[in-house]
Amino acid sequence: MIGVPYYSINGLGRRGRPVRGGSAVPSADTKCYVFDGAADYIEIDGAAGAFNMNAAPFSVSMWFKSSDTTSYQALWSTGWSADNGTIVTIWMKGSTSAAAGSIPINTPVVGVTGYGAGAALWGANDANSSPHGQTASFWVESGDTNGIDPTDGDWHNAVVTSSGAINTNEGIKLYLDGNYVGYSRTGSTTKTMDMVTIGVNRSKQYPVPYPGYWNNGKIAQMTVYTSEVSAADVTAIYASGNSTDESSMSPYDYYRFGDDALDSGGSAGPPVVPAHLQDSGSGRNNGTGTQVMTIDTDSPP
Amino acid sequence: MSHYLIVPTEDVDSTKGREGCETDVPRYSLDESQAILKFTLAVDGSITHTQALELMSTSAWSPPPEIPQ
Repeated sequence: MIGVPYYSINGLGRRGRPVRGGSAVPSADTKCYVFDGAADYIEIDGAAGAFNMNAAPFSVSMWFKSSDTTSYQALWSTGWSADNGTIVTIWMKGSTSAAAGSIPINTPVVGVTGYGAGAALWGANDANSSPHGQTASFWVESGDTNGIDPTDGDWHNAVVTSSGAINTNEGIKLYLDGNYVGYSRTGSTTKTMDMVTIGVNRSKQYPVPYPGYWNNGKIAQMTVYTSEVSAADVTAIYASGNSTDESSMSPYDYYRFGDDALDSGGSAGPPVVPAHLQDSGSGRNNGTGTQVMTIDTDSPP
Repeated sequence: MSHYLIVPTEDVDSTKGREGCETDVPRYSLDESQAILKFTLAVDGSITHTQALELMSTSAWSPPPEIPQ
């Protein structure tokens, strides 16, 4: 029975996860980085040319957890150092967060926003974005089919995939907890990105991060692929709610947030040694924290 | 448990040299007149994490919510 998920009598455990205590798939994670919501984030070194939005495919997967229902929070963000009107951000908000644009108040949301030199990379309030969209963004609310509350205090997985082509229906997709939940048609703009941050929005106000999107939660695993991973790949990554070792999928970037031997939360000064996040993928784009960060023994099941 | 200290921007470099400081790249207020730095221990004038989050949510540190841009 080892390796065969055991399910509760109604077929699924909480949120469809295999029940622990049976023959649940073993977790690849034991640790996570804690983002303090005040000033922690991680800057990825040397990500030049890693992303060419709407011109080359990519996918990003992340495991995250938060109980902060009040704030807008960034998970992963990329931009272009020579153009502060260029960003792509995967973000979320909780049940008591304010409205913004067409996003309603008091509604948990996970969304994806993209601008290239100020032009929308995708997104519109029309049938080409589902289930919700406005200029440069699409998102999924908790009440939508297979929507989630990203701030319910549980571990969740988000995967964003890009076909790497302009003017393509469902050219960018969002999966939550293994389910395909949202998409948008890509526009006619392409844009190369060269900067990546984890835990804060990569802002058009560069070098000052957009101040409203500091992550106040935990991130346990993150991978970047230079391909559009398939729905079957997402199913494998989610593994019914267990983080898996994605090494066999050959990720470009593979961050394990405390589970890599070279990860470090850093140390207080003087001089300050900020947190280090090791990339064990082929890209070798390591990350550096803005501060010392807490590494917690908490992880997806 | 971390502690946070709000300092004038011109004092950032000297504060980073103090014992127990954990901040390398600080966050600044919207008018860039102040910065927040994290410490391992309570220092004179420091605030708790909860107090820091409350302060960071004020209009001096955070603009009204909008979709990232």
